[in-house]
Amino acid sequence: MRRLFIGVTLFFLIAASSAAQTITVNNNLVFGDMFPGVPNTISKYTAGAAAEFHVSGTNGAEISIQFTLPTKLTKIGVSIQLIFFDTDCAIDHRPNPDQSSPLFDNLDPWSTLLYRLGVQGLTIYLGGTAVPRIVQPPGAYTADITLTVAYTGA
Amino acid sequence: MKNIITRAAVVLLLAVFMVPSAISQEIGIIQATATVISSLSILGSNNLVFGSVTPGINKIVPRTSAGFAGEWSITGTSLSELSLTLTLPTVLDHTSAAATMPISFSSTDAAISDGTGSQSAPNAVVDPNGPSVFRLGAGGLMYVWLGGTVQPSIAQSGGDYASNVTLTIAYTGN
Repeated sequence: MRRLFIGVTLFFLIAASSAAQTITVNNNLVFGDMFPGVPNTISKYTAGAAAEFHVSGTNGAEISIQFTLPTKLTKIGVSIQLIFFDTDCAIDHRPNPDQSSPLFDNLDPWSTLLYRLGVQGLTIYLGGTAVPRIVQPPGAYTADITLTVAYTGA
Repeated sequence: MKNIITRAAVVLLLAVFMVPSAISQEIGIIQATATVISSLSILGSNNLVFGSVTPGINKIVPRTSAGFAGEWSITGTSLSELSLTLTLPTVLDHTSAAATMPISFSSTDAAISDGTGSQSAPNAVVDPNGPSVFRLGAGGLMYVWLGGTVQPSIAQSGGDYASNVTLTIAYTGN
């Protein structure tokens, strides 16, 4: 009975720990200096400027990936239009993901995406376009981009 | 035995509660960031002034002629590249009668300075008939000068003539 108790305990602890998932933010989406009236596009392929998330968890498990995307960069009282096109996202679940040539490319960040974690998890890249007005007030603008992932059970 | 079963049941319940928490969703938040630099401003600081002209005799105002050549002052972010486009008239309109006077601009009638040159010794001579691209100086300044030629006819009506000359500027993003 004692063995049964230990076995049951270990099973559930292992089950619980193997299902854990984490998101690591590797890079913000950085537009840098922008000129008033000049749209600026950050490609998802641009390391150090495109947004980059890493999701770790159980190898082979399917996860749903959903962005909550802003439509504006803001600072107090003013904003800049922010656009995400339906090809601005890419995913790579290979052990050594390649941002310049991701395994799954031109994905729609407005849709819920379903992909399986690899041995090293999964890396997500996101680009975008900011469109400042000609008379855009100078200064620093920001917006939050939220990524929600969850196991689908598949 | 009863004690072991009880403990096993407790652990089982705990584990069952742990599993749902482990498969719940995970959220990561990043920021999109941008820094907008200063907007451009432009000031027409001197009109292109031909003064009195004689019917039948062309009159030239050189771009180097201070107080007579057209002049614009531009300010913006230092060393940023700008596109400059002049919209030039082909005639001056009589201000109170239905008469016009031809005006023309040669390919060397404009010049620019990034703050290090002067009207008499500009940084570059520019064709005002086409768009050009230049960088603001280290001080975020640029000056544009414009000369031109009017061609009054022998029978030119007397009076004042005027027309708009428009300089359009924009950051190129470079």
